[in-house]
Amino acid sequence: MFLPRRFIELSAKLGSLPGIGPKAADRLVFYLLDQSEEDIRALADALVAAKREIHFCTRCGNFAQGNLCEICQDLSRDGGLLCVVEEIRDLAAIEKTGVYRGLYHVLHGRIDPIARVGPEELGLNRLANRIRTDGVHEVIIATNPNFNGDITAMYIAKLLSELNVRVTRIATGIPKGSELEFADVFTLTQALEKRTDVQG
Amino acid sequence: MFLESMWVQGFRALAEQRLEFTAPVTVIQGGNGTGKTTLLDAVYFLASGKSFLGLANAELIRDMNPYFVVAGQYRALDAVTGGVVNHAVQAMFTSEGRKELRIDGTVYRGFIHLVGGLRVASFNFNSVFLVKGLPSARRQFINLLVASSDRVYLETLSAYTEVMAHKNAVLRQSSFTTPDMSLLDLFDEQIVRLSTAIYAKRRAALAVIDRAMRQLVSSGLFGVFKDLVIAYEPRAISVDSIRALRDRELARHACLAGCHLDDFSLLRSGKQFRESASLGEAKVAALLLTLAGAEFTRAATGEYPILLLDDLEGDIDMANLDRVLHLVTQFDQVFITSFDAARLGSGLNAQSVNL
Ligand SMILES: [Zn+2]
Repeated sequence: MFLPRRFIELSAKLGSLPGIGPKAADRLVFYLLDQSEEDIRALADALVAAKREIHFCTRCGNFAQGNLCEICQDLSRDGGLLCVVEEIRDLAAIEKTGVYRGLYHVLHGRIDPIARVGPEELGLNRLANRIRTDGVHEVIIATNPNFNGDITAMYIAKLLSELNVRVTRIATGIPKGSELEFADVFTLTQALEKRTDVQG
Repeated sequence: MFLESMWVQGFRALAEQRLEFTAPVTVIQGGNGTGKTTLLDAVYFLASGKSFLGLANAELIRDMNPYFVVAGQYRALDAVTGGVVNHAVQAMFTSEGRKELRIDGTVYRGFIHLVGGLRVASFNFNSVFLVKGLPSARRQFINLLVASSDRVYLETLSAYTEVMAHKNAVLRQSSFTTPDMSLLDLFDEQIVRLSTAIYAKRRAALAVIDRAMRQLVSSGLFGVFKDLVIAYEPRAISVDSIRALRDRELARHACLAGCHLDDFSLLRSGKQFRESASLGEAKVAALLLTLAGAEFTRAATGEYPILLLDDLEGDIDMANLDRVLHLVTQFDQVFITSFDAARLGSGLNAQSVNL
């Protein structure tokens, strides 16, 4: 091997990132080694600072630099409307449509007993409490249209059926078994607008 | 339905075979261990994604081979247009467990997608379990039969399998965590909804098969079975009836109600045929059931499935064998192993394959 140990170590680290294969990792190392030490230090600092300062929003689970995320802090948004998503990347997909003006609740997962994730692990009681205290009048469930997303949606609908809140699910347009984050803006906008009531 | 060509590589006894079929009857010949049954199994695999021998994919790979490939080109009636359409399928499985399926150029991950393409009616030495064996053998028979002509049934079955897997996980974990009862309620609702749909389709299919079976018998085939009927009475299922089993399900870590426990039976003169049948009788009845199943497929799709007959001669008496061979002429395509081609007579257009 003609490459030094440090090179190989760094390439392996980069190669373990999602979407980066060994070849791309090597190219990144070549690129990084071309940069000035200051630039590299700035990059490293940005990484450490991001890790240290970005947390989950204490209200909705989105990324936040303080207690609350940008969305929760935005007073122009409709606090009576809550959209439940599995992951932050789903939130990002819905935000991209620009049509949704309510708040979110990120589950960071879905009910999947095989992976030992039940309603408790997802903190669904926390969601119920939030609806009780935050004056939410409609919950839009935007879990993925696959088996685990469906089960999660049904469970939430059941859980919220005793509360005085309308429960809807985004539905049409997104093919069964696919994932929200890959839906295009038009499809997702349609899905949000044509949401249907769910009986718990 | 007609299989025009096949390519089999590293599949059990078969190292490599490239075969073309033109005649309605293909007689597969060769000594013991040359892979006659395996060739039929390969055709069955193209229709079901499974081996009729009940072997797992890894066990189907020929010794020392890194993978198996089963591929075929066939023509079939198109359900929508009614015209004849050509299809190409190729299934590959590697010793590392990687699956690759191509159907008309589209790649799929699960072999289950084969179901509904090529259709077969298969009689082999495992068929006796249809009559004498556990309920699972009969469920497998009816599931493949109905799913092959009904995509909704196939999807309902997959959804059911998924619910079961998740409910079983909750039940298993209940030994060290308190199970979420509302989640189990939710699964039970799904089990009731999906089972009810599956029961209805099985009932409709079994009624057709029962009628076809008795028509075959009254036409002179296996006349001794004139009192044989199919009985199907799925156990009534409701959310309440499953909930009543909850404690036992939690104790046993298993789902105790639903269509995964379903069964149908053959009655002869009102009595369970399973118990009274000799092995020979059971085999003949299984052949009858297979042929009746082919009639169901024809009624549902407008064409006969491909008939696979393995080792027929040992089990059927001469008079009935002649009747079976007469019936065979109705099929577009038949594969027979271990058979004296001369017996077919000059009326049948047959080709031989020597392995
Ligand atoms: Zn927030």
